[in-house]
Amino acid sequence: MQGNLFTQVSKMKKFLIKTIFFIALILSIDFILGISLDFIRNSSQGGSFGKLNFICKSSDKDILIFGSSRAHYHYNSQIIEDKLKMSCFNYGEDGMGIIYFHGLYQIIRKYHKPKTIVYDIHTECDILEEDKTRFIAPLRPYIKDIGSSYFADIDPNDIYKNISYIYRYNSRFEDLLIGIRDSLKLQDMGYKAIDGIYINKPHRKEKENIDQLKLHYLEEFIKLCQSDGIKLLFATSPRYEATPTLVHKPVLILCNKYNIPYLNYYSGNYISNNSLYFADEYHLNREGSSLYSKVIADTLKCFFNKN
Amino acid sequence: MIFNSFEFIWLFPLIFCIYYFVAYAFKQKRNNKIENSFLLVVSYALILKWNPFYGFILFYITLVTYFSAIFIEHKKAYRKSHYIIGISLILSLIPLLYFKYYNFITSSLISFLQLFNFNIGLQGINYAIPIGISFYTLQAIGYLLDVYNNKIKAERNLWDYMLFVCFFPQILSGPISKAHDLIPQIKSHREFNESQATEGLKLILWGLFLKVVVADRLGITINYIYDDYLHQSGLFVSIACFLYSFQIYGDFAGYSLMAIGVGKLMGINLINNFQRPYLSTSITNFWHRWHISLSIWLKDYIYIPLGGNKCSKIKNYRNILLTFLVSGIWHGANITFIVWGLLHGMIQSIEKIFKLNKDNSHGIKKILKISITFILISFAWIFFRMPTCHDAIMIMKKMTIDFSIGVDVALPTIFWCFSLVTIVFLKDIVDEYNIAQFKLLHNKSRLVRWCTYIIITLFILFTGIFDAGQFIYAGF
Repeated sequence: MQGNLFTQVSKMKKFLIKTIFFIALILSIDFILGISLDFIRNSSQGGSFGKLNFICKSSDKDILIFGSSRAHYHYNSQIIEDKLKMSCFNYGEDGMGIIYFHGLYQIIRKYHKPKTIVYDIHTECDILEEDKTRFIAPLRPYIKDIGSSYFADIDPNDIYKNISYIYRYNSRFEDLLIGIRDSLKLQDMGYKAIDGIYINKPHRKEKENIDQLKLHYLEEFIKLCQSDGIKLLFATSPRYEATPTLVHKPVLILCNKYNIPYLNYYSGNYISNNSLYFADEYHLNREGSSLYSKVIADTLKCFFNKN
Repeated sequence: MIFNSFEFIWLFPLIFCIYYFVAYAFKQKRNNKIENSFLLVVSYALILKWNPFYGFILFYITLVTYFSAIFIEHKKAYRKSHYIIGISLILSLIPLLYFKYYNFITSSLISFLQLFNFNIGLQGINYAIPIGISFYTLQAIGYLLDVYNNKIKAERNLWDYMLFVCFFPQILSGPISKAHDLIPQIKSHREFNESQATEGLKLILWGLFLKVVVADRLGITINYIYDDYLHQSGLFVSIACFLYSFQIYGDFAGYSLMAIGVGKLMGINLINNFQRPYLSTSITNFWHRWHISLSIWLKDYIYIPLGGNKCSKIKNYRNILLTFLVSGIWHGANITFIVWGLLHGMIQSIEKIFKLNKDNSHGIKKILKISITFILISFAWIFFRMPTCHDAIMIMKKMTIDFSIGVDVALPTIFWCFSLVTIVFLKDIVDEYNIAQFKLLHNKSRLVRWCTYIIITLFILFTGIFDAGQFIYAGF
């Protein structure tokens, strides 16, 4: 009996040793590969990594445009530059919202502080409740710059997941490849134009809930920008045949509290009611974005003159 | 406890260590009472943590079937057991029928009565389906029917029986165990077996790869295409159909492998649930390889009691259709699942009529049969995937009459999806034909095995989706 128990214990010991050895081996390879991926990321010339490297290390743009795809396709940097005689870079990222941009700004501000940030508010990404983990995924490679606690609000387990260096680059293989292969196309300063005219009927979503965490991040972003002496301006660009909505009210309350201008062009104007200016329900086409960019540039001009 | 969750990474090693510590600490007693009690407490704690009400439902099913089995055995002498089995089955099925099918039954009834201009208001229920209810209900009913049919003796030890029903690796999504397989293992003296435990870890690793790398990554592309299928090209809808076959395979087989792997680590062998199903040469053969535990359950408790194939041909075909009607209904409370089940039943009947269900072909003929079977299965999965029959038919229309090849998904994404499918397919080929030198996880060379473990782990970390939802079958 004792002999059998001894055999069992020694088998268990052998199994545990092999398992622990495997885990140690994985952690070592993870660390080495992670360092290599960090190097590739820092050397990236193109793609999303290249874009952030450019903004942080190679540029001193006066105006940065932040926001989701609606920022990306709506704010023509060249038009804004020409009108204001100030450099401008469109840092719109498809599908991203304030949780991402607040983290992103924490990285950028270590290298460079712009004079102005124009933030395009998108209801789904910045105000309404939805899955938030996608906002922190692109920030994981920059965990050293942002701090691991940043992710805990969204996913308390993310602190532990990010122990793995490789996990920080989860699903970013294509971005790393593009970073090495491509170089950043700077002729449009981050702005991307879509061509085409929207011909379908817009689809209406049901009422959704306000996300208090997103509002918290909006407020923290405002405080951070103000502490850095940056002029912050919120805008909501047009959406095709949008109806007036109270969903932007929390943003308006925050803007009033911190004396931030909020330009709401979401609905009820000559751009939002005209399908010729839209490529789809959410996004202005080339012509529409040019028109809108001129409006924004004029507004910014007045804003700068006042201040 | 979801196997691809962070919770599993820290909680399961803790359960493992405490389990074997308890096993060794109480070795002198030479029985499994303490270890089994620990497993029972852990299994119930995990269910109660999910929702205390689910634990109550599980306990109710356990008690009903436990006492019914004893009562049936007792009353057999008086030939009254058939009344008891009827009542027991109804009592056991009530939670499943209520939580899973009530809304479907009432909405179907309302729609049917409206055809005759009868309008009735029946309120639906708004409760989530208790997790795993479809699986443990079938498992418990299977036990009850085995006792009734004199295949096994009623289990008198309530704790052992409770563990049989609630054993945590299998409770969420199976496999559905037979009492004569699992209860003896629960009762028997279990010792730590290093090779069994190592095999368990390999199954967990490969299962996790199938789930988070293959299934969830394919799911992103498939959802993108299917969610807006009307505006997608025929080519891409067809690609989504093909990829979905592998998504559901990766999802369900991945989970099953992890469940079996966890079981092995605890010293218990659960039934293998998948046997390279897409290498089937017929739909009949497919159901010997896909969700094997459910197939066995349906065969033993629906098909054979109906008469099986020990009756006229017409009745045999009827029995096949009815069995797969039940399968469809079990899979979900929607007409689409019923259509899916009936499709499988119909095709199997046709195979029987034309004697196409025999697995004796070779070479080109075999490859042709495998390809045709896969196409039929993929078509049937459309009904499984889409929310309505109308959507399913529209998808099929798109695939068959829309020859546009507009590209709306990035080519690297498509390339990556097909690479994953190829990896899964090649592994199945290697396992099917036992090509020893390519069996990387079971290679003779330790270096090859360890390199394989490392590569799979790195793949999981680098490309696995960890923010996705639960397993497709966990919804059952």
